[in-house]
Amino acid sequence: MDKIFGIPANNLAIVMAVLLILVLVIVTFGSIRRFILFKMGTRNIPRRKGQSLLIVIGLMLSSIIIATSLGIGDTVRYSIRFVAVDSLGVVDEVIKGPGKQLFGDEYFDYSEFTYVQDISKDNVNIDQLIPYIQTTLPSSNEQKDIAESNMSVRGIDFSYIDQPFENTDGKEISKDLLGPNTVFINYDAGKVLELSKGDTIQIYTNQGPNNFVVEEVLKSGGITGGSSYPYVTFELSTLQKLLGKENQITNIAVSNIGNGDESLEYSDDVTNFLRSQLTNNDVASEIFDLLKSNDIPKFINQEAEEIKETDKETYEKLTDLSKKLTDNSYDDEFLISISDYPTRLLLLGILEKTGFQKEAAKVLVLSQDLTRLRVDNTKSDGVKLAEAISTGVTTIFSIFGSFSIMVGMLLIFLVFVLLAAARSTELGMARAVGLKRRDLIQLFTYEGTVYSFLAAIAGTLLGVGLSFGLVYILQDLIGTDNFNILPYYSPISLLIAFASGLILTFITVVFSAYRASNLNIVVAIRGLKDEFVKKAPDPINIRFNQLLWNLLYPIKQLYFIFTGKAPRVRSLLLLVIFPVSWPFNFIKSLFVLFGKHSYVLLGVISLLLLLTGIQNSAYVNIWFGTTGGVLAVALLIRFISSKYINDPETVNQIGGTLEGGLVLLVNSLPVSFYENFSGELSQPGPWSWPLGGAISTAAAVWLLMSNTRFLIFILNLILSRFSGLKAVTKTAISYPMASKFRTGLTVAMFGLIIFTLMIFSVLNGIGDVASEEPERVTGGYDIKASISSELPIQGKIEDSLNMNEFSTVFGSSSIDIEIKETDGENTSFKTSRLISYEEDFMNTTKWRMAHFDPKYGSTDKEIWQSLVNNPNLVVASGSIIPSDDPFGPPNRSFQTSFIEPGDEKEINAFDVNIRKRRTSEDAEKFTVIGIVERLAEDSGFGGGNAKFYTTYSTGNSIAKENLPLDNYYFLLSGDQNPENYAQKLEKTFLANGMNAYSLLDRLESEQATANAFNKLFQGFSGLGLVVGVAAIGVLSVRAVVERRQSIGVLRAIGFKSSMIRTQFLIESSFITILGIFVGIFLGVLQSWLIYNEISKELEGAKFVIPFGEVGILIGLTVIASILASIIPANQASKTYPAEALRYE
Amino acid sequence: MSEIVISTTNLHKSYGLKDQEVHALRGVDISIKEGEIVGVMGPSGCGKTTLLNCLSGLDSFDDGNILIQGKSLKDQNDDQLSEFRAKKMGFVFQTYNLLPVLTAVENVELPLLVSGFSGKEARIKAIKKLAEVDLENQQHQLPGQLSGGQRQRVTLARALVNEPAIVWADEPTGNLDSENEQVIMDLLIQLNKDNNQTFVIVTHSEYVGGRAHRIINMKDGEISK
Repeated sequence: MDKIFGIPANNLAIVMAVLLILVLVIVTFGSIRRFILFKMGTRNIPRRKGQSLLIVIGLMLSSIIIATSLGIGDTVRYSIRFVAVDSLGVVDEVIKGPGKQLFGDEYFDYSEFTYVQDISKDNVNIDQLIPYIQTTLPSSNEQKDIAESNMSVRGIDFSYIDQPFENTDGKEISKDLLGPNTVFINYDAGKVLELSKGDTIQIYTNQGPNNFVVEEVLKSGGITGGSSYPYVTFELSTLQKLLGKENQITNIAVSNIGNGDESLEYSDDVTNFLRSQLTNNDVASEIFDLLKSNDIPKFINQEAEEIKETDKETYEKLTDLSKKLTDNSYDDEFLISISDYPTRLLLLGILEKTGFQKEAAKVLVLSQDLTRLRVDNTKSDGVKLAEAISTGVTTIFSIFGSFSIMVGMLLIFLVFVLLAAARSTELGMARAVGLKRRDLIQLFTYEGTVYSFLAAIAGTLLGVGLSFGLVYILQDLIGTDNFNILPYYSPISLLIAFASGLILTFITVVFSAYRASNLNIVVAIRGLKDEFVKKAPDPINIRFNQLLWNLLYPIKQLYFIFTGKAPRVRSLLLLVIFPVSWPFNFIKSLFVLFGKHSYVLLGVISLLLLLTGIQNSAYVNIWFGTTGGVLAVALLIRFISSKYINDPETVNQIGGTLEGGLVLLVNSLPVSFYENFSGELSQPGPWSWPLGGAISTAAAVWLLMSNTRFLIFILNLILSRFSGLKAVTKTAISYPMASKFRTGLTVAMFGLIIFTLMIFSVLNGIGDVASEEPERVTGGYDIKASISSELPIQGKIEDSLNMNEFSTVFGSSSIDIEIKETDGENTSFKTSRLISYEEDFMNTTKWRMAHFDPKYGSTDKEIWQSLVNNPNLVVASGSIIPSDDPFGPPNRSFQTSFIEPGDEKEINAFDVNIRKRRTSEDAEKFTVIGIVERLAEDSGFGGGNAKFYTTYSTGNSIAKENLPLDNYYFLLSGDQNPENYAQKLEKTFLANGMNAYSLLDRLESEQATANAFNKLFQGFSGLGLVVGVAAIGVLSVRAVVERRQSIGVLRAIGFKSSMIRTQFLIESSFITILGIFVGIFLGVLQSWLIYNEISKELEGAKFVIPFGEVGILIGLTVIASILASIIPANQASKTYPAEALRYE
Repeated sequence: MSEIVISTTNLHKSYGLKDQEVHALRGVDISIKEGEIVGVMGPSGCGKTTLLNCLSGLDSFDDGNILIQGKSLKDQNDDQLSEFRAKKMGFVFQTYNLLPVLTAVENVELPLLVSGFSGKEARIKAIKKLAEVDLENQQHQLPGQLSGGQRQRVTLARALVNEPAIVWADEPTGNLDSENEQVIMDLLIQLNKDNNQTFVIVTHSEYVGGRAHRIINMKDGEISK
C-alpha cells in the first residue's frame, strides 16, 4: 500500500525498522552490560510455561490485528491492481472522444488517430498507439440456446499490434488470421457461451443478428479482453462495417515503453503530454488571459481555502492554478488543469459567485472547443483506485481492530501489575541489597521484551493467515465471477505489522515496568497488601523549580548528558524524542505543581479547549473541553468531600461516582446537543470512535468500581436466596471487589469488546426496514431491466409484450447534467445525473420522501404527481444531503446547502439551475420539491452521487432531444417468479442487449452480503474477547497462588473441594459478566444515539436489542471465561488444606 | 464420667521424598476427653502442628488411626471430612487467617453459611458470638482495620460460632503480647466452661500451657511424657 494510516508506507516502514533496531540494540546492550538483570528477568519464562504461554497468547493480539488489517489491504490492493493491469495488458492510457455526446458510444474520425500519431512520434515514452472500437453488443450461441446480452466487443486495427496472441493452450496465434467472417473470443466468452474454435457466434446489431466463426479462443488478459469479462475481438474494418461506422473509432490505446509495472512510471508524463497536446492552445490561452484578469486568481485562492479541509486534492489544484495565473506562467500544466472538466466547472462556479458572469459565459463558450480528445490515465487510475480501496479497507479494519488493540495493551499492563505483585518480596529484597529502581525497570523490560518478541512473531504469522482467510470470506460475500481474490502480503506490511506489534507491546511493557519498579522496599519485603505506596509530594519550591526546568526541557537533558547528573543514555533518548517528551513532561510538572488542587489546572485547560472549540466550531475541542470540565468539577467535589467526610471509602464513592458518571454523561451526548449552543461543528475523523469508546468504557468502569459497596450489597441480596451457594458466592464476589484495580482492568477489557459487538448487533437490526418494507427500496416493482442505448427498443415496449402479464411497465432514461443552487451556498455547477421516467412511474412508485415541501402535496404520491402536473419541478435523491462519510473520498457531486441530516421532514422547496453536461447553453431553473429517502434503490447509502428525478418530457426538454429509454421497470400481474421472468425478458429483448433482474432478489442478496460483512467485522472485533478470556485465565492463576492460605482456611472451616472450585469459577464469571454488563450498557446507549440520527432520515427504523444474539454472546463469553479459569480453579480445589495453610 | 472424643493409635506421618523423608509423627497414641483443654507442647519441628492437622482432618496420615467422637477419620472421604469440620470443629490459627476481603461479621458467619444456615440466621448468631468476644461494635470492620488482639478474638468467634465439639488452636497467642494473651486465654477458658467444648491447643507459651487442663509433650514425633 502507498499509505498506511495516512503515512507513506515506505516512510512508516523505515521509522518502524529504526525503532525496532533501536529497541533491540537497547535491550541487547543493556542485557550484555548487566547480564544478571537479564537472567533475573527472563528466568521465570521457562519456569512457568503455562503462564508464559497464556501471556504470549494475550500479547500477540495487537500484532494479529495489525497484521490482519494490513494483509487484507495488501490482498485487496493486489487483486484490484491485477484486474487493472491484466484487463489492460499493454495499454496504459486510453484516448477517447471529446465527451460532447450525452449517451451511447462516442465515435470519432480515424484521421484523429493519424493526428495523435503525428504529435506523439517524438515522445520516447510512447511505444505503441492502437486504434480500436470498444462497445457492448448482445451475442448468442444459437446452437446451445445461450445468450449474453452484454458482450464486450472490440474491433482492433491489428496493423498497429506488434505482438502475437496466445490461445488457451498457450500456442502463439497470428493476428493475421482474422478475416471478414471470423472473430477471436477470450476464454471467458468461450465459457459463458460454451463456444470453441470453429463454432458460430451471433452478434446482434440494430440490423439484427450476424454470424461469425470463432477463429480462436484466446487466453484472457490484455487488449483482447481480460479480468474475467467475456470479450469478442474483430478486425477493425469488420466491426466498422458491421456497425455502419466506416472510418470511425471510439478509442486509441496508448502503450508506454517498458513492461508491466515499469510502464506505469511513464503514465503521468505521457498522460500530461497527450492532454496538453490534445487541448486547443489558442482557446486555452484565451481562457488564461481571461482568468488572470480582475483579481480572479485571488478569488480562486479564496475558494481553495474554503475547501482545504474537505477536499485536499482540489485545493491543491486550485492553489497551483491561482499561482500560475498570478505569475503569468502559461504552460503545459495550465493546459492540463484547464482541460480537466471538474476543475473547469469549479472555475466557472467561482466566476459566477464572484460576479464575473460575463467572463463565466465566455469561458463556457470557449470550453466547447477546448478539448480535441480526452485522455484517460486508465492503468494508473486503476492502480490508484486499488490503492484507495485497500487503504480504506485497512483503515476500516484498523479502526474496528483498535478496540482489540487497546484491550491487548490493557492485558499487557495487567499481566505486569500481577507479575510485580507476585514478585514484590523478591523485588523488595533485590532493592534492599542495592538494586536501583532503574534496574528493576530493566529487569521487567527484559522479561517483557522476550514475551513481546515471541508474541509479535506468532501474532504476525497468525495475522497473515487470518487476513487470507478473511479475504476469501470477503470474496464469497462479494460473489462476483469477474473479480478474483489473490492472496498477497508485501514485505513492507510484514515489517510494519511485526514492528508495530512489538513496539506497541514494548512501550506498554516499559510503562508497566516503570510502575512496577515504584515499590516501597519495606512494604514489598513484608509482603503487605499495598505494594505501591504513594510518595509524599515534594515541597512547592522544588515542584516549581521542576516546572521551570521542564520549560527548558531539551536544555535540561543536554545539561544531564554533559554533567552526568542523570543516566546519560536515558537523557539522550529523552532528548531524541523531545517533541513528545517536552510537552508531556511540562504538562506533567504543571499537574505535579498543582498537586491535590490539579482540578483547577484541569478546569483552566478544559475551559480554554471549550472556548477555542466554540470559536473554531471544532467538535473535538468542545468534546475534550466538556469532558475535562466535568472531571474538574467532580474532582473539586471529591476534594471538598474529603474535608468533611472522614471515611475515605465514602469519599471515593462520591468522587468516583461523579467523575465516572459525569464523564460518561457528556460523552453520551450527541453532537447535535452541542450544536444547539455553538452552531454547526466540524466533525472529527474516524479515530474519534475508538477514542470515545475508550473514554466511555473507562468512565463506566470507574463509576462501577467506585460503587463496589453498593454492588456487593445488591448482589448479596440477590444471591442470599440461593442457600446452597451463599458461602461460596460471598467469597467469590468479595475477592474481585476488593482488588478494584485488576478487576476494573479486566472489566474494561470485556466492556470495550462487548461494546463494539453490541453496536454491530443493534445497528444490524435498524437496517431491517428494507426487509420489512422492500417496496421502499424497489419502488414496488418486480423487475428492472437495462438496455444498450445504442440499441433502443423501436416503438413502444408494450407492443412486444403480453400486457396481460403486467400491471405496470414503463421506461426511463438518464443523462449527465450540471446543476447548481440558484440561491444558497452551492452556486457552482456540479455534475449529477438526471433520470427521467415515463408517467407511470409517478403514478405507481412506492418510493418515499425523506423531505418534501407540503405546498406541493401532503403525501408521497401527491409529491410525485406534482412532477407530472408541473414540468418545472424535480425530486432529488437522498445523496444530495451532505453526510460525513469518514471512510470515503470527498463527495464532489452536487450537494444542497438547504438541508442537513436530521432536519424536519417538511422543508421549503428550493430552486436549482440544470443544464446538460458540457454545453454552453443556458441552464434552466427548476424547483426541488422533495428528497427521496436514501433507502430507495438508485440512491444508495454513502458515496452515491446526486441524482434528480423528473418526467420523461422534462428530461427531453433539458436534453433538447428525444432521449432513448435505457431502463425499464416491470410489475408482474400474476404469480410469476420475477427472476424467471427476468430471464424471459432478456431473451425477448436480446437484440437490444437487455439485462434484467428481480429487484427483490437483488435486494435480498445485497442484504445478505451486508449482513455477512457485518458478521465478518463483528468476528474481527470479537478477537479482543480472546484477550479478555486470557486476562481471566491470568487473573485466576494469580489468585490461586495469592490466596493459598485463604483456601486452607476455607477448607478448614468446612468448604468442600468442589466449593473452592465453584468459588473460583463464579469469580471469573462474575468479572466477565460485569464487563459484559458495562459493554452492553454502553453499546445500547451508543447504538441508541446512532439510531436517533438514522431514524431522522429513515422513517420506520426500529431500535431493537437482539436479545437472542446478546444471549449467545453472553453465554459464549462466560463459557470461555470459565474454561480459561477451570485449570487454576481445579488446582485450587485439589490443594490439601494443611499444605495450603503452611504456604507463606 | 466424660467420654473420650479424640483418640489416636500408632499414628504415623511422613513428608517429602524418599531420600529426604521427614518422619513427623512416629506412632502417636493419645486420647482426649470431652470438655478437656489439652496443650500440645514441644520444641520446633517436633510434630505438634502435624499432629493437629492430622487430628482435624486437614492432613492425611500414613498409618494408625484417629477416632473423633467414635468415628474413624480413615473411613471418610474428602467431602465427608469437610462436612465434619464444618459442623463439629472450629479452628484458631496463629496468623489469624481471617479472609481479608470480608468484614468481621462476615468472617464469623461464614462457617454457618457453609453448614447451611440461612443468611439471616447466620448473621444473628455471628453478631451474638462477636458480642461474646466483645467486638460487637467492630462487626463491620475489615480485618485490616482491627488490632492483632481483636483479630484473634474474631478468629475465636469464627471458631466457636457453630458450637463445635472440638476447637483446634495452633499457637493462638503466638502473635500477641502478654496482655492480649491473657485476654484470649480467659475468654477461651470461659467458653470452655460455658459450653463444655474440647480444646486442643498447640503452643510454645508456658503461660498458655499452664492454663490447660493437661499437657501433651512431644519430641521428634513422639509423645515424650
